[in-house]
Amino acid sequence: MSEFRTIRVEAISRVEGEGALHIRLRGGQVEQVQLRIYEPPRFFEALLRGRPLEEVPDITARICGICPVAYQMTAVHALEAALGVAPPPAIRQLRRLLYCGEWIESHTLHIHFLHAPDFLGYDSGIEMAADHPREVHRGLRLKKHGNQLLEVLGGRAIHPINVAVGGFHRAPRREELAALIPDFEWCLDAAVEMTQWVAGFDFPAFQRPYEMVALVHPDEYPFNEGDVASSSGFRIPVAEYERQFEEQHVSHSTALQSQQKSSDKPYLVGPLARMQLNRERLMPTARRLADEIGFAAMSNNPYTSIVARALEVVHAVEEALSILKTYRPTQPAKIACPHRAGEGCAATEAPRGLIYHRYRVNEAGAVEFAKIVPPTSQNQRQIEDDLRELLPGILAEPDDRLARLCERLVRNYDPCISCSTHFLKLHWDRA
Amino acid sequence: MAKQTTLFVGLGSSHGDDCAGWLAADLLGRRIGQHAVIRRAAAPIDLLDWLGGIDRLAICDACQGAGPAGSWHRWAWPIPGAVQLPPRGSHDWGLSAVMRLAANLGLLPHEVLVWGVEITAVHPGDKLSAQVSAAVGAVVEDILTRVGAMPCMNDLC
Repeated sequence: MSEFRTIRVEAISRVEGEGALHIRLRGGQVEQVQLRIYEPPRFFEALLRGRPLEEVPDITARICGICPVAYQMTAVHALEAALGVAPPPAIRQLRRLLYCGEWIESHTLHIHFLHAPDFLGYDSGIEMAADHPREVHRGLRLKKHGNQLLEVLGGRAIHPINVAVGGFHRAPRREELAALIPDFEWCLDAAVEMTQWVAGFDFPAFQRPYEMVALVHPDEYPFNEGDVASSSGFRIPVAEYERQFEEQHVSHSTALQSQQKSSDKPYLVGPLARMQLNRERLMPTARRLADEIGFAAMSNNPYTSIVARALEVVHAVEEALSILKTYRPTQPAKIACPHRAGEGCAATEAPRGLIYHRYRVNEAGAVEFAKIVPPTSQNQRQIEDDLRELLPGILAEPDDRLARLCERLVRNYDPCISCSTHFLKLHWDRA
Repeated sequence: MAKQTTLFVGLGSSHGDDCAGWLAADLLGRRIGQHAVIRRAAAPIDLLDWLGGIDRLAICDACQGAGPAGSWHRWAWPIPGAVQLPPRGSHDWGLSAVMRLAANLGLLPHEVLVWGVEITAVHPGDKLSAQVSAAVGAVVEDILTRVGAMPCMNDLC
């Protein structure tokens, strides 16, 4: 008779939001792996229906306190596509700057408080701080300056309020941004140090044949536009995203799971995918640093995502500095966006990976339909797939250690569970 | 004797009785005026940015579980017997987690006082209850008394 062994992690620690892991083994074989996202669904797509399109950036910002810009920015791009308007380059540049702030604060938080403790043997960033105060101080300061950029451009660091369809409600004054330059010059040195620090960690030998998916753009590291491309070679316009990928509801998760339509296989979004597909478009310091630390050779190892995040912080700081030094206020800060009936979609790159929105609006400017696909939804099946691959090699470990190793693998993805739980399809069975 | 700097932080939100800390900060601002470092914070982690160069930290926050709604407490940190839950993620860094981080980073001043105002459940859009409003008034008087007892506080000294 086969013997069952069940590993349960009822609340995964050091991730955003609340999820659990249930793993069932039978006779030494992995029978079931479930990343159980049990946070209640939040129904954002339904909340948006009937709302004026001008409210969408502020409503979607509420999806996440760590990456609100990604939600706002994807929404405004999709709505501008629906309205047939395109803001000028100066507004586009400010939007990239806003993205820089979000990547800096989100990535440095994950690196120092959620991920690095795994490599250095601590239960949390708080314990790690006692032995590594210099690194934690550096992380806190980097995060603070990322937040400052969000405050100046977005009005506040959490759930920014200055983003509008068509641009910004108010463009910052030149001196407001120039005042940040000395701190961002410090940030560049600090981000390089941070990258060298994490590149020196010991990474478990674990290579995966990922189908990596990210935006690609001919001229820039992707933040807010580009084609959707993959490591296997496909490249499609964002408008064809839903032909390539689909979401499915699984009974063990309140978040929809994405997969490739043609193969039913999972795929990977996030820093590793962006780095693999866009490495040559990193800013010079980040690109040089990636070469120095030999990053390309280990980019299929999910544990090295911490290095990819660090390199992206270097990139974001360097790009932010470049914009801060050359900024001239643009007028108007927001272009006119006359209402018309239409449908539009957009994809941008949240810190955790590609994010896709599609909206349909009517001639009165009200939202009739909304679809939001967060990065964590897209990575869920890949996480389960990684766990199935990891488990056979660690089954000899006692349950508590095995559970910790599984949690550690999940943290490679920096999953934002709260973001992912707003699916719309709800089926009631009534007797 | 060298001057000492005390920082007062009111923690809370705009929702119902959870605004106890903010209300305390506002009332103290009127009583102490520009001579004190008084801040409102929505998240305890904001404290980390403000601890540099201070000698004493005073905090007021809403709390539950140590008495009936409308009662209040004054504790010296660390609070004996207080349950310190580990943060599960970066969305729920409570006061105790932030204080432990600050201590490990060597940022905490030598004296930390925490005033807790007992509240019941809070829902978005709620108004402040009369009992919690009264408790905050008493807390502010207590803080002012403590400030008077402190050897020196900013320009009040």
